[in-house]
Amino acid sequence: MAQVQIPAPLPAPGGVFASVFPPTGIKPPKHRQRFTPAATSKIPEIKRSLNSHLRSLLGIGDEGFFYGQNRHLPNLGGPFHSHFESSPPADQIRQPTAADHAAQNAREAESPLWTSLPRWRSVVGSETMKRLLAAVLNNQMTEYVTWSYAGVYRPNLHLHLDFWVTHLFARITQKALSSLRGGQSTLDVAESDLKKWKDMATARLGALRVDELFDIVVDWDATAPAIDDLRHFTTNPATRSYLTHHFSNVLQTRLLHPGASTINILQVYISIIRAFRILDPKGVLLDRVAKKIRRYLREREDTVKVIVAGLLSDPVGEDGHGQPSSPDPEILTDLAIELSKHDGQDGGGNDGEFDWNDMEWVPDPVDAAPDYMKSKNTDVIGSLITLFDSKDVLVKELQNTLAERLLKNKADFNQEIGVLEHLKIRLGDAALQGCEVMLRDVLDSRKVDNVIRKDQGMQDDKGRPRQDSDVQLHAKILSRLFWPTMPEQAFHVPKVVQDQQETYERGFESLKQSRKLTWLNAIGQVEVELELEDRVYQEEVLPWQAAVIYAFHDNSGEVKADEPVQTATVQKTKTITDLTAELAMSPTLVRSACIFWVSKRILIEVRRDTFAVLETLPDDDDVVMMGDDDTGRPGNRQKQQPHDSAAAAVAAEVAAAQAAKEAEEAERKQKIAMYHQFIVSMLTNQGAMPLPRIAMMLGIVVPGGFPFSNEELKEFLAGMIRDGVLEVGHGGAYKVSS
Amino acid sequence: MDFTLEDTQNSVPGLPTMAEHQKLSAMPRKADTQSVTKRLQSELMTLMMSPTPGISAFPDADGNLLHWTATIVGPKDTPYADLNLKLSFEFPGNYPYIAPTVLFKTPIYHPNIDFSGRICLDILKDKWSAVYNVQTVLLSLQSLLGEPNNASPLNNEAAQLHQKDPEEYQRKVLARHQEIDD
Repeated sequence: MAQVQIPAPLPAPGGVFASVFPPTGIKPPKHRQRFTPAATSKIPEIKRSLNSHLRSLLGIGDEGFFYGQNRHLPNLGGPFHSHFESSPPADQIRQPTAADHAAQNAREAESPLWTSLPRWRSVVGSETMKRLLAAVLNNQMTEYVTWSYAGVYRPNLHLHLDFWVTHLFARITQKALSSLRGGQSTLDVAESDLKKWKDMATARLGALRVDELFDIVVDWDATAPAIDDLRHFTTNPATRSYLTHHFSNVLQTRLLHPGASTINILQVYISIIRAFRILDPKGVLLDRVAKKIRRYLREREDTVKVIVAGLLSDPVGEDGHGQPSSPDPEILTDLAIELSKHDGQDGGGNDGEFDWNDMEWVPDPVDAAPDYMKSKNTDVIGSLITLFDSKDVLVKELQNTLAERLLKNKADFNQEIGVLEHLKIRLGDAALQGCEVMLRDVLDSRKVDNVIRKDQGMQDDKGRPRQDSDVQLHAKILSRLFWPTMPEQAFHVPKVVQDQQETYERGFESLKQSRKLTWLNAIGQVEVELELEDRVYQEEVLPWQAAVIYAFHDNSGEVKADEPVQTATVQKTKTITDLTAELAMSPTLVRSACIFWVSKRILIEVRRDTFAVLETLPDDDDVVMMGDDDTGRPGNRQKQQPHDSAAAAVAAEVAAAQAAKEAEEAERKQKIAMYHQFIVSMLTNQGAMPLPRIAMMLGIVVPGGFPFSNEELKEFLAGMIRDGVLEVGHGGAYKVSS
Repeated sequence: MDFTLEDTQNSVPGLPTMAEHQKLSAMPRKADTQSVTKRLQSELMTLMMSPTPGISAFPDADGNLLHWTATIVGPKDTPYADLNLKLSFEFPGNYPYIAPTVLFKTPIYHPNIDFSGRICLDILKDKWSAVYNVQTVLLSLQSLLGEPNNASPLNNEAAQLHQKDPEEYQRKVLARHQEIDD
């Protein structure tokens, strides 16, 4: 006799995936049984037909299979279909009636299996038959679960599975076994066996769902019932650890790699939080799964940006449906919705561990990680806010984004106010004080602006400007200490504006004693109206763009050139150099502004770096532009397609980006002086140090981290050596020159 | 690890036990170190942004910013001219409400400094206030080098010599001085 050894069903770890048959039902072999070659050669064939007969009996792979009578009985519900999708909703499947059983038994009796079993037994013996039966049934359970349930997420699935195990799997198994024994044993299934088979089926289903878990999470909301299936599965530490382990691995390969955008990862993380909160309200599973994601997200540089943008995003399209109609894929609007949904929760306060009157208290789950903290922050917003060790990172980014938004010309800031109020509950008033001040600044500015303009005679009582032709200046007054540092790209504003600024300043200083205004010319919006010969152009642009176009303004009060565009040589032109000198603006910025106006078809580039006003629009079919890629000879004209303006717009963007980059570079250079001081001071006090140690120390002490690589640092140190500040001692250690 | 035995069963409910006490007090203490670190970081930043000639300071490599090394270059026209004097700063967890512990690492001969480097200076003792910082302490020490307070000496001999025999004093200062290099 042979040991009944079931081939391992799946890549199956742990006891849950053990054999179909209880070990007690199988006796160890007394001695090895030897078959005649003829009998041995029959085994595969027996197995094959056993497989096919059982498949049809168990209703696997047959979408038309049903149990008993195929009709709907009132009050009792519909018939059971082995294919889950063809079944009626699981809670409406009727428990089989006597008629159903009879019908089913009659159908099963037709199966050739019952006659074959005794025949096969006589060929290979009953122990071998049992073993074959076990192997086949074991595979079929997995096959059934996969066939019937893969990708199907409907509530009450376990009722359906229970039905299948009780009325088909268990019964058929028992029937087959009794027929093998020559029909002498009963057809009743032992309670303990049934329970075991049910557990196994749940385990198989669990394994299937764990495999699918990533997709379930990605499609979250539509797939919610699948989590219910998993809840029946994750009832013991082995399955729980199987789930987290497996899922973490999937996350690692499918999500946490450079190919996934931060917004994607965050989106999935949010879904994970939602799904796992239902799966395991205690948060242990989430805690274990989320650790990797959180660590990975912390490494991503734009995580904070995405989170903050999401928080501040407008959950638009709430046109009565409550759902955003067209969420921008670039912004995590989910967060904004989640934030406004949240209403302080339970207030936090009571820490379960010290609440002596809490009769519901239960210890932390046994499989909780040692550093598991039962945090109240398992909801989406809480998890994302606590992603970083300190709130400062988040608050700082919040200030930056808020600054940008508050400086826009918006009618009201109700949404920002709302978001801040919600965040205050989470982060505390103190942390958001800066943001609060920023908000108040902007709101106060409006009043102050009105008062000053009235006092200084810049507008009449009704808020209308005094003179029509004048430039209208409105200011936002910011408390310098509370706002993030603004990129300062200084330039001269036109004289008219400057005059207004001075008037405004006087007004402010008389209103608020001992305060002074400093103008940030680069920030703001300008509404320009350009009167050209054949058209009037109106748009809101950036101050430096306005300043550049104003430079083309002539004294007659409108932007204008005397000659039509074809005679470009007599036209009023300005070169980049002229403009740079006139406006004290950086050449990149001037160029970027010019290209911007070219893209709006207000200016044209007549020669390389020389621009003129395009007073009348040429016919669209015959746009004459001087590309700056030609040799610069005036005669070399190119015919270009009308939608060149689109290309020019792109060029404008590129130029603007370059200008911004230049400003950044300038800032970086400025910082270098600081690093110089850091290095000198460090080497003076701590003695000679090798390069890696210097890099490490700078990383620790420089606020905001040290942005250079080791190579750049080496270069920098070499520069300091050339300047005679440092010298290299033995062992490559740097030290201060004495 | 030491496990303190405690009768948690029989203790009065409501009064936190030792273990709970530790848990409860862990939070504020952590927040506290954070604020110290923040303060020290900003002090370091001010030192870097507006360096003062003759003094400098920098945190040690242990990374928690609570230990610094500082260097004072002896001011001109004093017996200490051009000497490099190293000091150690140790900041308590509730800095700046409590003064840092400041010691001279370089052996120094001075009326108000003893042979193990301890300093007798009022602002490091009872006159300490939270508005002082590393920079002001170093500046005070720098001026103390030139103008010792002979009324309350730690090193009596130095105080005597400083008043009566400047040349001998100068000789002793240089004899005691010893560059330390680490």
